[in-house]
Amino acid sequence: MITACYIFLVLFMSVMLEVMLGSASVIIPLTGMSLFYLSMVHGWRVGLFLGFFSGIVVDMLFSREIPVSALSFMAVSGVTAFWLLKGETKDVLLHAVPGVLTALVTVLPLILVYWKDMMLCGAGEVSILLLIAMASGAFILPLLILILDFLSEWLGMDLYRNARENIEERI
Amino acid sequence: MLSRQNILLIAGFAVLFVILSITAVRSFSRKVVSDFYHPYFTLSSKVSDAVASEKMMLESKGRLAGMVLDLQEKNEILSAKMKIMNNLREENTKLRELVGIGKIPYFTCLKAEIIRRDPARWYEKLIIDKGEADGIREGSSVISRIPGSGGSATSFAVVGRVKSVSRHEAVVSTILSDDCALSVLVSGSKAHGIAGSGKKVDRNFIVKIKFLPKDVTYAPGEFIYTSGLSGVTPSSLLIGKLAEGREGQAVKIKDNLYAEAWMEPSANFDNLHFLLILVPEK
Repeated sequence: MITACYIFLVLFMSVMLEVMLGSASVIIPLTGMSLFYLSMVHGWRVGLFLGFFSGIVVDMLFSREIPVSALSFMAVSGVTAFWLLKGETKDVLLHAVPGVLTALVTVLPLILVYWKDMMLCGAGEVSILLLIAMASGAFILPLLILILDFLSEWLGMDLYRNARENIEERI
Repeated sequence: MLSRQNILLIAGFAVLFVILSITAVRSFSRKVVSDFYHPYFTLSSKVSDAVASEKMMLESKGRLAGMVLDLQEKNEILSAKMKIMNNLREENTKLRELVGIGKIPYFTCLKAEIIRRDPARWYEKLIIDKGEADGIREGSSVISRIPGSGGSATSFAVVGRVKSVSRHEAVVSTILSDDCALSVLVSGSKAHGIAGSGKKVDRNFIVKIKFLPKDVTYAPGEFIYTSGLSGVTPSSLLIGKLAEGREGQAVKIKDNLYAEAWMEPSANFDNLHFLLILVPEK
């Protein structure tokens, strides 16, 4: 029950902040980062489920006809599986790499689907949006892992840094 | 990795996406989600209002008295203006009846604030903090303040129309969006057309006007107003002016059936915060 509340609160806050920042014309893939963390800790199937629902919420809040965020957030589970198999979980700074990957996976489909609409802002501004999203991903993911692992440890829940210990179970 | 369980999981999500493609389901879930999040998004503005109100308590009595006097003076000026406006409205109604145009239904004007904007469709969709509970209805026209031509006076220009409404929020489709169509009137030539769908050319937005009569002469710079033919949009609201085409012509003939023109919208889409919604009275 505590885990479910914790996941709900983390995703609720991430969606809120992402939508608020989005309304200030900045795409910061906070929900994608939280989903990466939660998928690593609780498994990719849980990540897929959470990605679908949080993506739908983001799409609904932005009143999008195509549920592009639901699809791209589900794809974060793919990044999780890749990082579980190829990467590692102990070195926090190295997580700038999945941070950039997660940002790319969540923002690029949005740009591709709404390419025509986004071109009203101009190609230069769209590239800047993507670059900011990637840079923020590289910075936010390591920070988020530190904060959420600290909270999880305090609440006595599964930790991100131990995610690779029972890798068979997660994959 | 592709075990029977995983295939079932993926199939389950595929079914969910199919269900979500149904407009009614999407519209219902959008209403539920936006109403659930609404109090949290409006929290910041409520807090700033409360802080501003509390700040008043810290002002000195003399300053507060000065502010009251200032407001009283402004109130008197506004009351006088309102009286003139009411007289003009009555006169206008009488003249319309005399000429035989008939009575145009009145519109209620509601102020709304933009609370969310999709970064992917920044100029096309706006989400406002007023909904069904505040009297907003689908199809209502949305206008914003623009600086007047003289510099001092202000006027209003059409931004778009309300596309969908939930209990506490509404989605506005701007005239740059493909799903906003407005019946327009070209001022000089008195021709009617349909405006909607825009693009950006050299840092300026232009909006397409379709189905204009082809046998009329159009000049670049002619003002475009709402025609009021739809019934949910008042007539004579400024939308923009005819833009000059590549060959210096204002219009292009399409399939030898109708003329198509481009218009420069008057609303400033980069600087939108508060909007006015014109809801037709029942």
